[in-house]
Order: sequence, then structure tokens, then C-alpha cells
Amino acid sequence: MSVLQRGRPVLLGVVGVVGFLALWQLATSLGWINANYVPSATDTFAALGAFFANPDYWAAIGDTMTTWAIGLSVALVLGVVLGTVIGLSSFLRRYTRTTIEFLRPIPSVAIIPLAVVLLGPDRDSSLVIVIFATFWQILIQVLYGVADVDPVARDTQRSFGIGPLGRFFHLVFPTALPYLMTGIRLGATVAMILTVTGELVIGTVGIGRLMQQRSIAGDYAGSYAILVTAGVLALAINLIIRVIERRVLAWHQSVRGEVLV
Amino acid sequence: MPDDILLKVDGLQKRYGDFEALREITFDVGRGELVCIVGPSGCGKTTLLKTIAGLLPATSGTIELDGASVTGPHPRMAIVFQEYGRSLMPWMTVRGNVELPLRHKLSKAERHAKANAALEAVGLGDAANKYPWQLSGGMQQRVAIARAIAYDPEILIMDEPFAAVDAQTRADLEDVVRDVWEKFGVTVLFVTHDIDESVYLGQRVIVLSMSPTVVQEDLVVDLPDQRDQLNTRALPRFTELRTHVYEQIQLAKQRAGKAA
Amino acid sequence: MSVSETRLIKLPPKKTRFPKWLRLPLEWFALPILIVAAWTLISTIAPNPRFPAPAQIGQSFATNWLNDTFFSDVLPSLGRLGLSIVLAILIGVGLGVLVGSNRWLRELLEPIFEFFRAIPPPMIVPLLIMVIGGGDGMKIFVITLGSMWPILLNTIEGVRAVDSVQKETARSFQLTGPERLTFITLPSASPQIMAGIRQALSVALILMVISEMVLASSGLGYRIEVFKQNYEYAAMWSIIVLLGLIGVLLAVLFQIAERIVLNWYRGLKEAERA
Repeated sequence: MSVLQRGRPVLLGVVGVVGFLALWQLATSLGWINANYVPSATDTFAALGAFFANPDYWAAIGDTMTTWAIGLSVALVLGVVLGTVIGLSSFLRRYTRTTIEFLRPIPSVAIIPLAVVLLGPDRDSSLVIVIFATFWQILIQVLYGVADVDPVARDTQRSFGIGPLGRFFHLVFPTALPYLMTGIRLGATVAMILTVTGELVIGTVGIGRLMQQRSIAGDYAGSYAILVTAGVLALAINLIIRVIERRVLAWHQSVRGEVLV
Repeated sequence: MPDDILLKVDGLQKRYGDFEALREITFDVGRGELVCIVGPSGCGKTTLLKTIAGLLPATSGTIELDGASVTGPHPRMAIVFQEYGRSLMPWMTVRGNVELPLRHKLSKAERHAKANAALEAVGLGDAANKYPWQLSGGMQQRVAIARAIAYDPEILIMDEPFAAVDAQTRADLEDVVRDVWEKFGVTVLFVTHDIDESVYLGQRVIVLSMSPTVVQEDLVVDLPDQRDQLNTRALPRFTELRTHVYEQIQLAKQRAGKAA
Repeated sequence: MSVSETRLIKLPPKKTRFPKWLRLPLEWFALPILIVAAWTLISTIAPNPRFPAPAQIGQSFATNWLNDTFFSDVLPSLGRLGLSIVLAILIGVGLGVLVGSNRWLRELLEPIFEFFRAIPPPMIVPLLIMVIGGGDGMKIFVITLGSMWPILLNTIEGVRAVDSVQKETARSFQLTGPERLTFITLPSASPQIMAGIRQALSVALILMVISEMVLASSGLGYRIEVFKQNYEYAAMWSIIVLLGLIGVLLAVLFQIAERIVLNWYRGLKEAERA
């Protein structure tokens, strides 16, 4: 592919973004959208610039990322441990199935009132809802990954005298790894959504709460600037995870598949 | 040379930038003929076929079907692709696949009848309600052939259809092609890399050179009209012909080697 | 020369203690019943108002939800949810097919769409309320806008990835535009589209609850706020049960739809694995 062919998607993408921003600016200045509540593109980016100099902004980002990281990590550990234990035992898989299928679709937001009442309107209750939602994403993927072991490979290893522990490292783990990476990617997104939800609804410190404060104070440009921030953060996380995924799974590309659950 | 010409390819050239895949291809196909095209690997057989079928634009030269110029996919041409697994739609049954090209042409009852006839002709009368992925590779290719036949084309174009199939299945499928050709009276243009296949099937064999590709030889296969796998391939004339084609192809490869 | 020993791997005989008809229900209900029983036991021995006994939760559930609240709050909420999901699918698939079919359009718009998808949906709720105000229309707008992105982006990807051989087949057999869309593009992209819808469903449910919590006039979210403020523990638990049931309902509906739409896909994948 020539340089022009490779560069064209990037060029068009940039044009698209610029075009959108121009359209946005036009819409607000020409009054197509109520400029009282929707700030113009320039105002939003000006507010963003102002935020960069504001330590509260960075503190809020740090708070959000902290909640997110703790929540994701705890959910990851729980999900991997339980997923492996249950996934390796046909008995456990069968007997936990209905329970998992009932608990899984419960939206984390339903737990908010209880969490707040039990743990107070702070990071702890936020973590509860983040962990609850993220855990299921990871658990499901690990369950499918562990169960996806190729029986031919297993029999091959058994016939070579490789015991259960050896098979775990040489068979189960590599088979489940792509699923685990998918689970981490999906879990990271969910964790971010719930972290922000907790900040908006519970009032935990972070960018969600900062946005609420700004919008109550009538600083809509600031609110939108934080919206942009959230989007960029989420994209960055997603990108980093995809890069890690590609490195870790470079040998596995042909076999991996995202489980349609 | 045939008197009633159905397909006329004249001075066909196909370039990709500086690369000349096809230099100058000229040949005719008579109405009702079964003509095979064979050539060394990489000579552009598939490119030639796709250009004739109107899927790729020619750089220069003409293609005429029944006097009308071919510039895009032609409604009187039906194609059987090599990759049968990817050409059949897995979300439709065999019947659905065979009837799909007929939807905009025929009523439901007519489609049904045509599909049944075509499936019977290829030996898949019972498989109409199965899904393609429930069938073996050979059977899937029969579905593709049935689909092409049901379409009622003037000319059936087949692009190395049996390359991805095992030898025994290939033998069966070759006979299916001859049966269908005789039964429906359709003209067939059959591209293959298998020399024996080209001689067994064809009334004529067109041998291509290496790229830049031209028609190296246009040879008449004077074997009896009634052919079968066992006896025809044992005929001395068969061996002469296939040896001759083989020599031609070796010559083509050598010439390319010298030119390089 | 010694003959190497071969080890006979003896498979243990399958233990079937239970008759066949009993086995499945046992697998389904054993653990849940165990949990409820244990919970009941613990709340009898060491009662904690914050973790009421299952019986109390059940009673609270009946009192709060199985009466006219059902019609005044639950059904309307579900109705809004359903409508929003349908809209999200229509817009997501419609726009997705359009953008996915055209390479220029796709390369132009995909980055913007990916950015919108990355924004955590709950964040748009407070911002949109100000612009559009309250009311049913606003809630539907919020849920649709927040949940349509996975559908849109997955559709674009699915449409883009239609097999080139299938496209050539369609061209060579003179299939019309609508035929290509109905019989090739959409079915080919359907696995991706269904995956997008699955993601959209969970986002939509979250947005439904949040949009009603924030707008606080009627609906499930409103009720949640009321319970929270009144410290009605059993009621709060009954909310979790109710939303769990709604979630399960959505999941079951989706699975039914998936079974119908992707029947062929499962068969194909199984055939490939064999």
C-alpha cells in the first residue's frame, strides 16, 4: 500500500473531526442549538485549557482513575479466581449457571441506594458498584475461556504424562488468555462507566462530580470540557489495552474470538 | 474455428499500473461448446476469467457476448467460483441459495421448479433444505453449479472450481459438469490448472503463456463425445493430447524463464 | 530390548445418582434455594435491619411493585426502555449500513463515532436535561442517544467486512440493491450487529434508571430515590430483585431473538470446529 493509501484513513478521520467541530461551532453561533445550555466548541476548548492549569481538575482525574483502577483490579482478581475454579469443574459450572445468569443482568445502579446507606456516600459505595458490574464481565469471559480447552490438545498432553498442574499452565492458561484479555477490555470500559456513574449519582470525588458541580454552577463550557476529558480518557484506556492485547496475543490471533454473550 | 460464435474475446489486455497481467488474448467460443483454459501457475487465468465475466475492467480489447459488448457483469453469464465456501450464503438453505439469483426474474413457483430441476441435475435432489455448511466440499460446489444452471445462462464460466476438492470428488464433479453441459445445452468456459482435467472435459483446450500472457495454443480435443473417467483416460489419444499440453506448458514456463 | 510400558488411562464410571428428570431442576434450583435458606437462617439468628430476611423482601416486593405501582411506574418505565431500544436499533443499523457501505464516509465518520461511544453514557444525562427539559420524550432521547453507539459501530464494522467473494457473487448474478442489502449485507453483518445490541441493552437499562433518578417525577428511578430517602431497607432490596428480574427478562428476550437470527451462524461455527 502506498503512503497515500495508508495515510488516507487518517487524513479523512482528521477531516471528519475538524468538520464536526466546525459544524458544532456553527450550530451554536448561528443559534441552531440553544447557546445558553450548549457551549460553542471554542468556549469548550477554552474551558478545557483553563482546566489544564487548575489543580482541582487533575486531582479529579486522579480520583477517577484511582477508583477505576482499584475497582478493576479487585474485579479482575475475583473474576479470574472464581472463573477458573468454577470453569474447571463441570459440577460447579452446571450448578452455578442459573445463579450467575440471574445475578449477572442486575444493573449496578440498582445497588446504589443500598450501598450508600450501608457504606456512606463515598468511594467505598462507588467501588461496590464498580466491582459488581466489572466482575461479571471478567467472570463470564474466564468461564468460557477455561471451558474452551481443545479436547484433542488435552488428550495429547495427558498421553504425554503431563499432570493437572502442568496442563493448567500449558493448556488451560494459554487457551483462556484471549478470553481474559477480552474480559479485561470489556471490564475496563464497564468499570469506567460505573466509576463515573458513582461520581454523578453518589457524589464520590472524581470528574463526574466535578462535572455536576460545574453544571450546577452554570458553567456549561466547563461541563462539556469534562465530557470531552472523559471521552479522551476512555479512548486512551481502550487504546492501551488493545496494544497490550495485541502484544500478548500475537501468537494467538487466528484462534481468538470474542464470546458473544 | 466455430461457426456460431457466442463469446468473442479480441485483443484483451489487462494492466495493473506497469504490470501487464494479460498482454493480448484472442479466442472465440462457439455456441454450445465446452472450452477449457489451462496455463502455468501465475499466468493470470483468474484475472482473465474475471475480466471476461465483467467483474474487472479490461484495459483494452473487446469482449462480446452474442454480439453485445461486455462491460460489466452480464445477465446471460453465470459464474462458479473456486471458493465455494465463501460464495454460498451460509444463512440460507441450499434451495435459498439456488433461488436467490432468480428472485428478480421469476415468480415463486417458477423459481421453485427451476431450482428443483437444477438440483436434480447435479444429484442433490434431497439436500434442498439443508444448509451449505452441513454439506461436504464437493456437495457445496454442486450447489454452486446448480445455482449457475438454474440461472439459465447462455454461458457458464467456471474458475478453477475443483481446485480445492480431493481427487475422487474432483472426478465426480467433472462428470457432473459434462452431464449438465449435455443436458442443458449451455456453453461452458472452464479454467483449470489441471492438465488432465482440461483434456478430459474440453472439446477445445486453450493454453496460456506466462505473463505477459497471450494465447499460446488453441487445440482441438478429438476424443469421442461420450467420455467417462475410466475408459477415456486410458485411451492412447488422451495420453498424446495431455502430453502435448504438458509440453506446451513447460515451454511457456521456459520462455518466461528466458525472458526474465 | 525392553518393551515400554503402556499406561491404561481408566476413565471413572459416570456416577448418576439422580434420575434424569430430577437432574436438571436440581442444577437450576439447588444453589439459589441454598442461598435463600442460608440467608433466612442467618437473619433469624443474627438479624440485621440492613439485610432483611428473604421473606420480608418478598413481602416488600409484593407491596411495592405488585399493585397499581406496576402500572403507574414500572410499565411506563419498561415502555420507554423498549421504545428507546427499538429506536437505537433502527438508527444504529440504518446509519451503520449507510456509513459502512461507503469507504469514504466510514473513514470520515468512524473516529467521531468512536469518540462519542467512549463518553460514559451516564454523563450525558445531566447535560441533556438542561437542553431538552424533562418529560417522556427527553428520557427516551437520552436512552436512545446513550445506547446506540455500540450498535452503530458494530454495524459499520459488520457491513465493511462482508466477504468479497459474496459481493462478487452478488454482482455477477445481477442482484438488485435491496436484494443485496436484505440477503447479503444484513445477514452477513448480523453476528456483529447482535453483539452490538447486547452491549446496548445493558447501557440502556443503566440509563433508564439514572435518567429517572435524576428527573425524579415518576418511574423506577424515582421510586429508588424515595426509598433511599426513607431508609426502607426491605424496599431497597426489592428494587434489586425487580431490576434483576427486568434484566433477566431483557436477557431472555435477547437470547430468543439471537437464537432465531443467528441460528445459521452457530451451525456454521460448529461445522468449522469439527
